Amino acid sequence: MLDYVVQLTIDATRISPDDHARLRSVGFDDQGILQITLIASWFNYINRVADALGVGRE
Amino acid sequence: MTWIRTVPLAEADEALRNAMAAQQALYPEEYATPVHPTDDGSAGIVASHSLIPGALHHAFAAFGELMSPALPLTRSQHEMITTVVSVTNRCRY
Repeated sequence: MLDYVVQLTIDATRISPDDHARLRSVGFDDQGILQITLIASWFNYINRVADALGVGRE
Repeated sequence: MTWIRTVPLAEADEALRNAMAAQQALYPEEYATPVHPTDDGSAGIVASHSLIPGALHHAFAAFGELMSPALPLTRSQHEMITTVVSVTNRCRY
């Protein structure tokens, strides 16, 4: 799961059906894969917002 | 604290108050205490969106939905994902 999350964060264009197959092999179904993808994607969004706006940096 | 103006809770109009309340209602209890609070105690990252209440509501409601216990992932898995994303991005937040 976390390898997938790292790849999504670094370069999502490199993700392939093989990555999804690996997630399925450890028990995630399509809804789980979607949830992982959306949580990781959302946190990439919020990381960028926080850094760009200086949140928590005095 | 952010590098753009944010709307303090005391000055929030109805749209902003509703957006913030709706977002808070969706989040797990452990999110009740902000990591980087503003002077009025609200979460800095939520307040950073306060100039566009609709974006605040929809952005944070999406994440709240994604943490639903009705979905496959556990809370621990949520936190592992968010931690790994932040570390990979070298996010300072």
